[in-house]
Amino acid sequence: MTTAESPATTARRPATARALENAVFSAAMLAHRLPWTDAPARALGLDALTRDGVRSGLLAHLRRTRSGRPVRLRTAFGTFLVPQSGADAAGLLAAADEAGVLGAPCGLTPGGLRYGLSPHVPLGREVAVEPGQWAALLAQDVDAAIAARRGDGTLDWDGWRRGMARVARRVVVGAAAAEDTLLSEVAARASAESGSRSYGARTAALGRRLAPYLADPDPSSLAGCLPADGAGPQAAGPAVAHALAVVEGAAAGTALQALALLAVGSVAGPGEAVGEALRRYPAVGAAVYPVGGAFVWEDLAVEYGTEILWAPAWAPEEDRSGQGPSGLCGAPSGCAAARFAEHVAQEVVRRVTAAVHPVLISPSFGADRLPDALDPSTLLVAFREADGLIADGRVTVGMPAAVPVTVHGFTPAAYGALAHASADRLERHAESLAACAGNGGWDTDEAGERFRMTLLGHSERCARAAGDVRRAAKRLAG
Amino acid sequence: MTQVVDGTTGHVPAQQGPQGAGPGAPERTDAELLIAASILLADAALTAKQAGAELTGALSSGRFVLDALRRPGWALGTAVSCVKALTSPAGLGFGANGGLLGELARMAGSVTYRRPAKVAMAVDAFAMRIRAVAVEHPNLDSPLARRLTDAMVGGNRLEALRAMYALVERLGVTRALTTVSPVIMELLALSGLLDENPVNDDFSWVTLAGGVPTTDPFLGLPSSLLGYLNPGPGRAERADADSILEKVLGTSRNDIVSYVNDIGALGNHGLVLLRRVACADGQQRYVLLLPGTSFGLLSNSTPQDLVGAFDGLLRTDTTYTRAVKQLLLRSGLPAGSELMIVGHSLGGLTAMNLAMDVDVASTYRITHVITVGSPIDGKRPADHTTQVISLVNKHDVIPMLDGRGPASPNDIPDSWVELSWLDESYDYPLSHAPQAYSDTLRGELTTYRDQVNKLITAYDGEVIGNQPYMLRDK
Repeated sequence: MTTAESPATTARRPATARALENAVFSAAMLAHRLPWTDAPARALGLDALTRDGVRSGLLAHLRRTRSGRPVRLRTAFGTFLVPQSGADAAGLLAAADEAGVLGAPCGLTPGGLRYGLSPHVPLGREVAVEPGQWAALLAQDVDAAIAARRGDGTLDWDGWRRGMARVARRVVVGAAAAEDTLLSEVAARASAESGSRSYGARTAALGRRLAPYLADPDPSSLAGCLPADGAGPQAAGPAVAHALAVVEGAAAGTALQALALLAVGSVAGPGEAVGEALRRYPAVGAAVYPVGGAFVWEDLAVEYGTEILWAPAWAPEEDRSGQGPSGLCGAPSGCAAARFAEHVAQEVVRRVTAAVHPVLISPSFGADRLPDALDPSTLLVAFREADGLIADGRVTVGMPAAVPVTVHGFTPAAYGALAHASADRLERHAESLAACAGNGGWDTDEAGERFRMTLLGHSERCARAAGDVRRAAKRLAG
Repeated sequence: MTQVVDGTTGHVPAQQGPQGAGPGAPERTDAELLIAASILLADAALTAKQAGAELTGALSSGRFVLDALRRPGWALGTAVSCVKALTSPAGLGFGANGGLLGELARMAGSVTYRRPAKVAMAVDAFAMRIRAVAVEHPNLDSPLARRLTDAMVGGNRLEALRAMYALVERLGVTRALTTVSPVIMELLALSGLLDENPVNDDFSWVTLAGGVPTTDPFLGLPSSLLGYLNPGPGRAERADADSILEKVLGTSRNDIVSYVNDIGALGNHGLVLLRRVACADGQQRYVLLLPGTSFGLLSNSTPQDLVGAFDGLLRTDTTYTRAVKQLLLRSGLPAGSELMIVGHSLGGLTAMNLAMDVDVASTYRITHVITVGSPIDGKRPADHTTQVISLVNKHDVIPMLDGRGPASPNDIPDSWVELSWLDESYDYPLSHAPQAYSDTLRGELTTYRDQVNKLITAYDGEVIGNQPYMLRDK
């Protein structure tokens, strides 16, 4: 079938949602822009009446009443053709791609805001991802990210994201680029501004930034594995930039979500955890694909100007087929970079769980009741020493995460876990201060001896406080 | 000494016995040991603060209330246990903080002069830092200066004011300021912790943790407020060099002393300079010279005013940076061009702020940032390959304002080149003038001059254009 055959005369138009269905969907999207809208429903335990609950309920209703066929939804944020399953989405997008009318997708937030996605560029070859193959390369950076956690063991999202961006640069571009934070910044801005007027300047800046690394690519990195087609380093730039964006997203966001799933025991190992995190909480939770010309898929006529909305994160329980665009990239035809990124995320989780024990602090959920959405930037995970190791005795002064953060809205058990860690640290401080007071350097003058007594006094106070806080922590933990 | 635990091992110097000082020399506690102990105490103080916040958060959380309805016995026992931990005089002390209830409790404690464990440890950590600095700055160990620092550590502000007055009376304003400048951040932090104002404590905690404060030490106002005092999109217009400037620029070359002299000749009334250089390797490169603050008025029509200086210290997007971005756009500097920025005082801060700007750093390649007497240690360029060179006279008050004093736990990156010296020829403000720096680099510290010049040889070549621009706020 070609577009020249006037598909509208030989195929059906997609079913259109009713006015009430459109209104409910629009209201659910609009409500995502208003904080605390979910509070009454959550307090009453009515998950179906939360924003996510209403949205997924409506999608399930459309699936039932329209026989699983794509439906045209008119919302306050645009009119979308919504496929009801991963298989339909894959078929629809593949047909549009084949007809040459599929435009570059953009992301859609639950609140209806559009944002740029890193444009998909094929890598040119599949990257070998044997178990453990890339583990050694990322070990140092993952260890540094673990060590940079706060004093109470919790991860600072910005610090974790910076650490994982470093992992991505090393693995994708090479060891020489590991320190190049500007590269990640420029790549992120280029992705976010995809489709905008400033995109050209951003990609030019990204190209300039990547050029020195690609001129002599690190053979141990992904860039070094790409086929040399004689087109020069500039040709590989877009593919490497796309891989960098996708791997950063997976290593930072998906890996942290996987650690949270592991912490509550809903999955068994790193591979399953990353797979489940990607299925439930894909980085590209919803994407809009513009159609630049009419085409027919099966017996469905899709008109010029249609926007196809594929939102795997909005009803993850309804489709476990695993079909459809990658949750990390959004490309309809699959993405080798996304598959590689999934492997990197698994290696990150494997390395973290080998070193420390993840504990979920917030939000509160269990293996039997996983949340509909899990934004990695609001996720609070703590790392505890694996069983049998001594408690945390790091000095955090001088580190970006040294300043204590305000903690609120957690469960008593989560507070108990945090307070227990603080009690351990206070006890370690008591030992450190006492040991420092024992240094012979204090003997030299009156001030030194005074400071020694000060240190001993604080050591005693830390020990007392540790005991008090530990007792309270035990109570809180229940 | 018993083994110090884990990561703390690296902070405490090796076991020392009593030091055998030479005849006549007073024995002093080692500065390294004092700094190590202050870091341990600071970490303990921050942990005590965190523990207090966690217990307060637990007690005041809605979920605890909901659980209490279901399990009143457990809730009562837990509440008693938490309150006991939060108020035990031998433990956390009056340790509640965080959240609405916690902050109200903390404020109540602050205005009633309670000194919880976290504050006591923080105060002693600052006291140790001050003592450590005094080892290398003997002026701080004079009876008058010690009277001031002891009063601040004791929280006796009236006595501190008297001591400051006595210090000024004896030494004069500029010498007194210079005397306390190495520990100015510690003194401000102590004042914030121990005064009756409970909303300015963030400054002290961030200073204690080795960070860069984003609030003022007196009222606790956020630095973002400075943006309202320093508004304007920034504007750049071509200007002509007057005869004096023209003469100085005529002899200028790729030499740090020459750049500092050029900045001195540009003055502090809004003029900056963009230089085009046809370099020896055939490439065209650019040098941007940014002068510092005009001290005449708090705020004037140019970005080079006192408000702009504080804005540049605490934030990156200022009228100065916006005006310079206009300049770069207006001058048609090609994307990808190599650029070196040299700035004095506020000009150095602005150079770093421009280097931190992702848009600027990705459009041009900022190869070097050279700052002269600028408090830049809390800032980091966006491009890790940017070579930062900081020239600091330790007798100059201004470079200390970034919070990194001699005893601070934070340090600058290894890749930076910081060249510092102690030149007591002039007190502040003369010690801060570009001419004072130029004199030093031309005189006894020519090795530093050579060292800097060696790092900027890529800019050797023929000057093919010197274009001054007048910068305005609006």
